[in-house]
Amino acid sequence: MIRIIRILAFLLVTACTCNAHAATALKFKPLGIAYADSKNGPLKTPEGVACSPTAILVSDTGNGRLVRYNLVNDDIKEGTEVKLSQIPYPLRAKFAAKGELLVLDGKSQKIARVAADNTFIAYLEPQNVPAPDTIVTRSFTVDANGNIYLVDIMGERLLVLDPKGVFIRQLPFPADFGYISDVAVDQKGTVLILDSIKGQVLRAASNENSFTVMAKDLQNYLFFAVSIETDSLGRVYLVDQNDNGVILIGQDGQFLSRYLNFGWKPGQVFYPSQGCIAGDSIFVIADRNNSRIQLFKLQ
Amino acid sequence: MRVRRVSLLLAIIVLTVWGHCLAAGTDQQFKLKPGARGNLCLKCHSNFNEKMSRKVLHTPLKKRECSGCHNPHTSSHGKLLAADNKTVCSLCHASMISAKARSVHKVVADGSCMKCHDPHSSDNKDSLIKEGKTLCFSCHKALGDSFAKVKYRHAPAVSNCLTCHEVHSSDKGPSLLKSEINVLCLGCHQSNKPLFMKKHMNYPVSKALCTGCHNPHGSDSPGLLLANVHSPVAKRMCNQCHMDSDSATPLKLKTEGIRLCRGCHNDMVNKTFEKNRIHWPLLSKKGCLACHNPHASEVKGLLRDPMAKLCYKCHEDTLRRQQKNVSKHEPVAEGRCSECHDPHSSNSLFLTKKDYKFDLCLNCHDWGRHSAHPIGEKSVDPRNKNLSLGCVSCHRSHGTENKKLFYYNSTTEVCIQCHEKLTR
Repeated sequence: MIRIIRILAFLLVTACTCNAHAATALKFKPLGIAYADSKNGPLKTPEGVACSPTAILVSDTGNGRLVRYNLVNDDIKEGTEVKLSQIPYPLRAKFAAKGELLVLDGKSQKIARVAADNTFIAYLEPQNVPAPDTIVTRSFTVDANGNIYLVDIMGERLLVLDPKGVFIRQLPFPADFGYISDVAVDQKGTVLILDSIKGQVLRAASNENSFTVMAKDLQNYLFFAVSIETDSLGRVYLVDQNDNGVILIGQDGQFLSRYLNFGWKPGQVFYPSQGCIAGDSIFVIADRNNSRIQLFKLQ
Repeated sequence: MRVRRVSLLLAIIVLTVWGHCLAAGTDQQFKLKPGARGNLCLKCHSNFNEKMSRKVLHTPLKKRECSGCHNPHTSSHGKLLAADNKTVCSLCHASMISAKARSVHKVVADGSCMKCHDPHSSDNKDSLIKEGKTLCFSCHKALGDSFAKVKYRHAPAVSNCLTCHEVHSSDKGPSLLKSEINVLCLGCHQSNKPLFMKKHMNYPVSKALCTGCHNPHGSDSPGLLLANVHSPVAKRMCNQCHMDSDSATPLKLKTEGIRLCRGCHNDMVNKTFEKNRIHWPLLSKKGCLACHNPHASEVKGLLRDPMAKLCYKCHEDTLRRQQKNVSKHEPVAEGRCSECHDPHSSNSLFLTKKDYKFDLCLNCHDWGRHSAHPIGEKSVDPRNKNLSLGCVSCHRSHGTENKKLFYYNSTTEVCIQCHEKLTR
């Protein structure tokens, strides 16, 4: 009996060690690159990528358009152009409720609603939002329920809106913040924001009204991160634009690893500006200054 | 009771012996002949006669205990010091930095006591190597130069820097100030005096930051105003931006962010917003004030700090990178960020004034026009079909760890990035 317990304990410890190892020993395996749309129109300095399990939406900023790719068996297909006069300079986009797209336009700093058939619906008009009246959105994200999270740099707060744009709640930026540049929401509804200047990730659980530091002193591992994303295991991915890489942080806020390098060749990145995770196993990166997007299999 | 008496007796004996040993000082340590202490050193170090004649002598020297700081035989430190010259003073002098210090003099933090004090003797109080502000200006040269040139000087600064500043560290204020800036200023300049109120248009400026408009050392303008003054301030039209002085909230701004500045700088703001990429801080709550001081500044353009210092406050990573660079692009090294970047907005990445890959470089370098190497929109980068070849295909504009701003450490390595067949 004692022998059986010992064997079970050994197996348990081994399994835990393997899991921990898997968490840190994640690999980025090059999977594919998209240089152009389906009509061979090349991408130009794309700033943003958004992911769903079956599609990738590129904010093809330099061309003033969106490009929508399908993801089939880990392969990137088609590449439909979505060009709308209301979005002359798309920076970031997200898949939203009812097949809609939300797109942040850099020129007007407005968020445009785009229908599933790629037609412009209207600009997002946040409703019932407390003062200040003016909202300047630096970045945004959408959670599984379609709620919208805006990084409002004018109000120095994170705004949470329902899918129709009606105010739900707000979280003030921490008192000594540097520059909040992006937001992500995990499956439990925990909000994560990125402070690019201070090299910090801050979080607030769905029932909390203020942010606390999750990961700090990240300057030891990165230069200037501009994008934050999280996966189903609660790991956090930061895109380090100025030092050309991706930083992986564990649920506990500890640095786990750094991926990718500077360069022009496939597998290398040059001032990447946003990352997203498709289907929980593919990391897509907007390789901005290489005018392409790259896909990496997470293994 | 008996035990206590014995203990007390023993303690007295120990203390007496220890005291005696101390009095004997280094005589026993180095087995000096009677009367040799100090005099022995001075036999060779005869230049000390001049030092010994000065008004203020360091106590060990006064007692002729040279071995208080020096080892007469051997040492691992320069000048046969008993410890590193950054720590030798602390052998006797406890830390000069208060535990609650808000600001610390850098030389003190560095342990460079001898930058201000002569370790042997001096004609100045506290064994200072120079007197008063002459000593301060020997390091703070820029301040000393401007102080000498300005038309109007703040009287306390003329007399002594220590009127307002502490020497080693301050518990109460920034920049070694003896208290918070306003508390210090208002200690002499009483804000309830009619003249003070009139000069400040009856605004309750005692709650504002005095150094936002005034240079506490000196200035060419009456009232010690900073070199560049915002027009409404110079015209005393405070209510152009603030609520009226007799309102309930006189210092409150009429509106926030860029909307406030737009009232006067409409053309500039419109021009800024015509571009695709706007510097994000401009759109934040601080708006223009993220970089500009709304009242006055020593820097042209009412910048809050000299350009590089200002930019690096947020782009600290650029500074970190720059410090590693061996080859440095001149404008970057000299802090002339706006030579290539438009700090407000641009249609180009990195907010450059022209396309960063090629056109921007031609502003200064005409080499690009007669280069034998294909460059320009029609020359496709062999490494990436979506890119054309430009200066930045081989050179990093700010600088690198390699010569000629190259990304790689040899010319060959740079070339073979594209010319792979030539790899040997």
